Amino acid sequence: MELKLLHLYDDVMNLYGEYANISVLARYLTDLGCAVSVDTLSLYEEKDISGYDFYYMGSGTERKQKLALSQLAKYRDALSQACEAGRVMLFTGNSFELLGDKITDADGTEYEGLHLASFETVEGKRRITGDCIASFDALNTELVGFINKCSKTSGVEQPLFEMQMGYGNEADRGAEGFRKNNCFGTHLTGPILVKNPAMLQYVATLLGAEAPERVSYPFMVKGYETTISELRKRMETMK
Amino acid sequence: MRKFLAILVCRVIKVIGGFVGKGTSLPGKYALKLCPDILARIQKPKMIVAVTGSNGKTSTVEMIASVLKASGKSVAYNAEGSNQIEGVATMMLNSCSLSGKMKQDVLLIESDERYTKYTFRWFHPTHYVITNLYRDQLTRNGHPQWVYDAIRESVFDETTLILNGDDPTVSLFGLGRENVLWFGLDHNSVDTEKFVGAYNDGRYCPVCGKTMRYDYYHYNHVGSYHCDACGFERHATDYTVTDVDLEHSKITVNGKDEISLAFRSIYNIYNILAAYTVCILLGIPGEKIAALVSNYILKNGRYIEFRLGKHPGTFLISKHENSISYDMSFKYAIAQGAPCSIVVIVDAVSRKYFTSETSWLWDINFEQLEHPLIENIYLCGKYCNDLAMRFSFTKIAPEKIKVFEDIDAACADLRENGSQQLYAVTCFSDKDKFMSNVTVK
Repeated sequence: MELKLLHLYDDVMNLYGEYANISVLARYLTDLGCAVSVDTLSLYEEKDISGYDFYYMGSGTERKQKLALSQLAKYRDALSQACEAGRVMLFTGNSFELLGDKITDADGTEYEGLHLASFETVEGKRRITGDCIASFDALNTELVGFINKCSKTSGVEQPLFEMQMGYGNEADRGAEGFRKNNCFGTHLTGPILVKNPAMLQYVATLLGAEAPERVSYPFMVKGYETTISELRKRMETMK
Repeated sequence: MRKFLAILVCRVIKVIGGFVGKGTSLPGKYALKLCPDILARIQKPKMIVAVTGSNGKTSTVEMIASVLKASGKSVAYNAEGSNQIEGVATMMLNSCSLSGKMKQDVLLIESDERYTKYTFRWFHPTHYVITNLYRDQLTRNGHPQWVYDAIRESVFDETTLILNGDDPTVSLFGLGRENVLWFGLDHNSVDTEKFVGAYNDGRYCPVCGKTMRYDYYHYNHVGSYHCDACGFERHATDYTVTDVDLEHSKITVNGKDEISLAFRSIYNIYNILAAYTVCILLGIPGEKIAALVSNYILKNGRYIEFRLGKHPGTFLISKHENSISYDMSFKYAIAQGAPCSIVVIVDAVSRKYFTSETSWLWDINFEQLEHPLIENIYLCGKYCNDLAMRFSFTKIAPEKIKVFEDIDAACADLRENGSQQLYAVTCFSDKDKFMSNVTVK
């Protein structure tokens, strides 16, 4: 099976090592026997972005997120069609805010979003950071990650995760991220597909890879076990 | 009366704290509770020098203080590295008279980059050094632009800024401003024409967002940059390292003052240059500064020589959650030219706060360890699996890599199977777990 992956704005939305999500997914799919190609769309590049099997974007500074938005606007229809067609799309960190109706920055300036869904984000002057444990109803495994944002997102119809530890869309714990068809948005930052073997497997399944459980990476599994055990201990001490 | 009481309380707690090993920020904290504006009410020296930035604060401050003292000037400074307002208050209240007068010639402050605005709410520095700004402790700091915005609130019109012109983010502080002095490095032997690193934060102009061009890079995104779209560019420097001769461990400043390096790293060069610049402004002649900082060995030494069995080794202190510090350490190890083993330890990500976050490992340019001199690599500590996963995406041959959760076990293996020369690279938070296995010369 041939699979085409597209990493959007890897040159600006790359604040927390997000490129690793694409690296690990490409390796995994290849090891599962797929013919994988990876493309990037850089900030001022113009090209046809339709026809990819997987779309990904990571986090950027608040300014770079707006810069990305200014360029991404012209791809609104292509992204919207991909989402409607059930293509697998993952937006981590503040890139997921771009898919909503609007973002208001800390000074009150409003930026129109891509309207893939009808949520809104408001940025503030306080940084919200912390280690997280998230549960995801499609999986019976808890996910680990880190939140690093300065915003609250409201009006999400279908959240992605339920936070057991860490900040959600609007408050400590509770609903986090957004989902529409196979388009996933979460404020978990960094290489979440490396940190969470179950999530990697889930994405590969959606992409049509057969029996993905055949391939696993022991360091990745052990790394996950270390982190989830550290985070559970941390959650206990915080209670 | 409150002022007097605050000074007194600060000193008493400082003395008590000294016995229990806690005396750098707690005394100031109580003094500030008693008298919140105490820092405004203290009579301060005419010269107030502040140093902030991602890296090099402590080293720069230490060298400035050393030069000033050796030149007969008295200086009050936070030597113990407690660099938030509480630590600054502890230092100031212990350096003044009971009536609140500081008699020193210079007040020198290392200031935490994110909290500097709280300290300088009460008084303003006359000179403000900003060393560099890049990805550092993002789990607390968010990102470099966030830190930039925080520092911005501590920059006042009357202060003379002393800026690293080679760092584009730092240079933004000098835009449209007269009272700025710039320091930086000329094109030199350590430069590269192409970007080297796992990520390039200098790719787009911080002013207009268009593509930025570099004539050369000193390291990562620090170098000579210009934006053709808006004209933003590296400013000409007033204090300049005009020649770098790493082979003979020396640099030349402003074409005349030669300085020998105790530690051949570009970080050290920048710290020396920043210290040189400040000392010149405080009236000390260049040749005298050069003599005093030549071969200067930092007290907070960033490297320690050790021995493990028959192996000599060097411990290179880096900082977790600070990818550039790792890049520098590896670059240093390779530059020494000896076949070696590299030990990387990530056990406690921070000693000050909890986090299990390891995304920053993907920002480190581990690719440079794919080098004929690097014979094997030991990945150790609680997060050895995350390290191993990261390394699996480099081109380094897997048989060169050994993974040990247990640091003692790694040391036992190194004793038997390590290369002749060892380099251990990790953070303060994990230093002792390794050093307990070796003998320090």
